Amino acid sequence: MSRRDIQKSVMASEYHWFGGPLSAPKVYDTGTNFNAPPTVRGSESQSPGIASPGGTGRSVLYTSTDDGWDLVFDAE
Amino acid sequence: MSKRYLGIWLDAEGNRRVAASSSAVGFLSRSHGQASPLFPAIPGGREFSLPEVGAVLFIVARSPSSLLAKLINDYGDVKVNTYIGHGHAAIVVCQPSLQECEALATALSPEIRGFEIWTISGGLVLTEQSILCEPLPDGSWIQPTPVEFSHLQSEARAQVEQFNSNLALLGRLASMYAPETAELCLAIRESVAFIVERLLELQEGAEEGSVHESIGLEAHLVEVNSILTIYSSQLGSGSLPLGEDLFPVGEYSLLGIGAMCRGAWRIYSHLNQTFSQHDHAGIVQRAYPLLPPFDPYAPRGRVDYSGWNQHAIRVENLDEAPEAEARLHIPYFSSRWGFHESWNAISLSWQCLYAAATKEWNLLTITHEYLHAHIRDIFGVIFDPSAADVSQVLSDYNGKSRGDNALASMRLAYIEAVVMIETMTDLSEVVSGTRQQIPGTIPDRLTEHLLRDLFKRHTELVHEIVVHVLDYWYIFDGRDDVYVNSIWSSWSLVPSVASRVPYYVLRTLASLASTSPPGTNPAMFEDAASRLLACLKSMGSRERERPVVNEAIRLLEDKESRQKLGIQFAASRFVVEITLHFFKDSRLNAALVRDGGMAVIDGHRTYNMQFGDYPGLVIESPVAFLLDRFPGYEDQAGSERVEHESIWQMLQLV
Repeated sequence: MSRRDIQKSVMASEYHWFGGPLSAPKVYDTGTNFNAPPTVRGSESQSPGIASPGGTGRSVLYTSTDDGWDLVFDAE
Repeated sequence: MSKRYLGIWLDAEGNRRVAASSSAVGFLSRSHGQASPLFPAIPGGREFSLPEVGAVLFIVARSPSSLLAKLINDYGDVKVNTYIGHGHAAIVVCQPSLQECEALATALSPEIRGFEIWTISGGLVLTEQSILCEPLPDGSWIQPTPVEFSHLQSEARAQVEQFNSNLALLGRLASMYAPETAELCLAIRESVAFIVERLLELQEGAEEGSVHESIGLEAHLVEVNSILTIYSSQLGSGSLPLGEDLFPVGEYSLLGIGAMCRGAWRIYSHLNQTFSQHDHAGIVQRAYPLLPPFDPYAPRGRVDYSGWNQHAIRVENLDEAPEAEARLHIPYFSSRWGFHESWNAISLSWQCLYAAATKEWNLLTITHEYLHAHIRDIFGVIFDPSAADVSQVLSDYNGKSRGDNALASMRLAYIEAVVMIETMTDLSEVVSGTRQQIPGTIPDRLTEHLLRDLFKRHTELVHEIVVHVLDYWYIFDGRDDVYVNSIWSSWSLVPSVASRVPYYVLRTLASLASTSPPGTNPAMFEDAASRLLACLKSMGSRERERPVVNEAIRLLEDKESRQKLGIQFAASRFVVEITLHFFKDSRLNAALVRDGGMAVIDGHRTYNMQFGDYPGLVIESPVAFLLDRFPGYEDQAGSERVEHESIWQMLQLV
């Protein structure tokens, strides 16, 4: 794949899908490789809470006991 | 003491004075003062000093390692007066007279790109008895032509005009001092020419969002100019005649850091060439649209991923890639950015100039940044908007379709990954204590707004996990101890890590889990966590306390924190499995560390080089060389030995 083709694909995809270059140009300091805030959030999170109990979709069940924990996806 | 500064200044009569000192400060506070550190070429050798009457030869070598090997091994009487530094004139030899310096330069001339000789008497440089032989532009050099900009609108036009000047300057310097960067100069020129073409299209057309896109492209131009000016300053520092130009970094103001820039380029270009030969972005672009779709939401239960284990999907099993061109970046040193990847550049921490021979500032960290660029290109191809319409992709996701081909399936798997990360992060936040049953929901339907929000917040983690897994396999060959030591030593001095320790623990767990036996999420998490804990504890005996390492240990030993990490790990594992099943290429590790100059001693492949050896070996694999050096590194910077070894190590690579 030529450099030109890669450049064309990556610049277009980052503009259309990711809202701009994934690593901000250095002149616009964000302090990380990305524009986004940390992924693992603290309690101040403004999460849309898409995993909240009672929502619609595929289920996941977290279970913990004294012996350990488990996650069951698509639980019946 | 082995570190001494060579310093110059002008006296009241305008004569150039020269001296050696243990500090640069005295030189720099004088009129036209400049200084740079020098170390004995041979560790333990005589510290740098100037003859009362004599001459100093500054050598700009084609290959410092090769020339040093000749000097040290073939010129026994010279080697005790040979010194090494950071600049293009990385080799400095003191001799009793101008004639002896000249004779030495003549004898070594095939290895020399340029040289300068100062005749010294009583601390005075006798300029009329000194010799300057500037490097000539390399015969094969092709100077990049300016990019046409006359039809651009004002902001972009101004940037391209500046770019042309910056590139002309870099080209002149590189043609004389680092002609191996010729391809880089041409590639940067082509990258900017592409941006100009796109800007003209946007100017002339009426595409929706054209102003927004134009501003983004102009930002790329601003960045390339920013990097070019820094790089020209660093690569051009210490150019001949010495003392004429000032490199505005006090510590290296006389001789500059040119040889270190060439070393950084050598490491970077080895990575770039090796990855180019495997052309993963091109393989994905060519092969995936022709392959049948796979189940991007599977496997059910998020435990058994063997359904993805289809032979034909791995990049290593797809077409024989022709030699391709990977994008090129400018590798430069930055104290502000440390190790960092951006569109045009990959920066190395400034500390590498004096502490690359420590675990904290080891140069292998550049591989992580390079892999960011690598997977950025892969995902860029996967999400190329010419093949992926947002509404169609959303429709496929909401309908739980597989898409039309493997490329479409991969886009859906990426979306499933960010949805999983969001879900598991939410779930982890409500978990506390034991004996709990908490039901959650992985949403089946997304709106465009929510999708973009998820991309914005979780793309970083997805990319980091892919990078970590590939780095762990490609560079570190799945060795926990070296990998964990390298990344956590590096992170231990980055202030921003302290506020996000769980995030860094999660990233490390993901990489280690890529070699865990396949099993349930708790089983794989426990395996990775126990291995990580053991590695982190082995770092605990260091002289200086490492708060982030201690915090990581605390998190892994705290039951509730471990539960939260375990839940988030289930989402991270989804990304690990994508990486292993689709993007990992087992040929790359072998290609990156292949070097005929290594020997097998006690079961280990090694260069068998001690600090201060000059075997004249051409290091074919900088990655293998740095891996070989890593176990012997000190834990932290600050000693003269570390600085000395850092220079020696880098010169071996040039």
